Amino acid sequence: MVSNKKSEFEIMTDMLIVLLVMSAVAVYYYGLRALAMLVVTVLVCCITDIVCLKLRKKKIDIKDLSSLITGLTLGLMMSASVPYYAAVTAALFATVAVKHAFGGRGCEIFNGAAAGFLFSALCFPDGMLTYPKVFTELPFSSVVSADMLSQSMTKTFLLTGTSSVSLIDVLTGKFLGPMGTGVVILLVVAAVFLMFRRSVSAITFFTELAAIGIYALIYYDFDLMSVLYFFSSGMLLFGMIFLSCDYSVIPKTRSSRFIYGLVTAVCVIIFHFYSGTENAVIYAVIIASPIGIELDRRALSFADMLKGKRRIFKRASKPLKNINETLEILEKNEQE
Amino acid sequence: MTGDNSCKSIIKNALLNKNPIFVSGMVIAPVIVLANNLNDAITLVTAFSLLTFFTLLVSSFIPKSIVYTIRIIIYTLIGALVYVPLAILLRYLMPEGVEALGIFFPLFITSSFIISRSESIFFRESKGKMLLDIVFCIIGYDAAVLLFAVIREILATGTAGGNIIGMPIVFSAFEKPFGGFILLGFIAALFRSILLLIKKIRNTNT
Repeated sequence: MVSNKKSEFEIMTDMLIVLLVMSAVAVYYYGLRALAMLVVTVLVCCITDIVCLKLRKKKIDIKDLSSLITGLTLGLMMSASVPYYAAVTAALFATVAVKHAFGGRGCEIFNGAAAGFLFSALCFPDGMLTYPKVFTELPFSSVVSADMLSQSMTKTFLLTGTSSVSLIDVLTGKFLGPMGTGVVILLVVAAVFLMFRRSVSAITFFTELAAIGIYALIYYDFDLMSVLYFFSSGMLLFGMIFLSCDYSVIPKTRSSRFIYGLVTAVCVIIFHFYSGTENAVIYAVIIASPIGIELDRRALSFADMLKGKRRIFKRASKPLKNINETLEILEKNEQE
Repeated sequence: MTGDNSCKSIIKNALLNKNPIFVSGMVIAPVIVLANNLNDAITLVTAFSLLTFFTLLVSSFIPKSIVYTIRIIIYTLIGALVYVPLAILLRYLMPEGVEALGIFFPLFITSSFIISRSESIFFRESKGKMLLDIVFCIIGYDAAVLLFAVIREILATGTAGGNIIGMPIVFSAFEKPFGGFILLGFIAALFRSILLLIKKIRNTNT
């Protein structure tokens, strides 16, 4: 949970609203095939979730929107031309291997969508990492002809260090890439909305933004356009909002969220600098998620330790009436 | 081992109820890394079975009076002694396969399987039952590895023993160690569920 004041259902509703808006843009850009892709990922996630819950003899919670969110996130991260079986594989993996294998909702140690995407990308790299142009009429068949597909703007940008995409196209997401992760304007609005609604952690988001931003400025010699390309490509901004700030894996304490954001940012930087891999943020999120959980544990035990010390200090600072009271306090402290 | 130590029970435990791979999760690292297909799995189980069997056989003569720490060192020494002629033999019989085993082949000497089998039964059972347990535990391990390798090969490459079987989709991620680890986990979970189901059906029938 990101905020103690907000219920999990409210957070999920906020996320769902934002994801639905982004899905609408994806459908506008890529047509009915994008819609079909989103329906497939959502349906597979929901049906698999219900089947797993039945098998585990757990109650189905109508207020649990996590499968819808995972399905939509996964769909938006994919190319509009991805074969349906790749989308199904990713959704199955996200629900069965990442969510239910670890004990279901709230027990995941990885973001389901990120892990599902990664698994599918490793299984079907050709289909997952080639993209159609915006407004291309895509056939409904599972496999789209390779003639209609090209490598992503991210890949070109990583290889050449420059891009021919105009500023307006970058801001509106009209470039070769995943179908719903590149609309910068919408992502900025989504980030502000979700942070304002306390549905994602502002601390984590701004820590990542600052750390990666400083790195990008130095790496691209303070060329602001390149920095913008860097943030809009490779799902970076999308990943920072929807994957690394995901309520199911993010740490609970503020200090942990800060460190978690820093760790994610460092992972992104390392992946970008040393491997030049596309979608570095997904790998970074996968690595940082378990660290976030461990940070929470450490922070809680540290807080417990501090509480204990404060209690002892408070008792010791009171004026003691007699030796018996002193002995009582010492006994209590020992028992604690 | 359960309290019932009849031959049938020993065989059943070794093959099913306490299967070294699917239930006990012993020596799974080489399986995850190497058992990508049936051919590699055959090399793996041959090397493992011969090394483990002869090491355990010789180790069974070590008297109980020797302290635990020293006993463990002696098992490892015996394993190393068995390894030398076995490595020469296997390098002659299956040179490519042994090459593929890499560091995992000598590491079998210190496998948890040898320690667990030797320490759990050597001083409680007769030589005959001990041999039976070792043989069936190894068979249980080998069968599990071969089954896992076949499933992995079919899913990852769409072949079985190198023969194309026409799978419509292949999941190449299962060829990688992380994919193998996940697959092994799911097969082990399925294996345990089937065992539980059989137990449940038997209990309701009786």
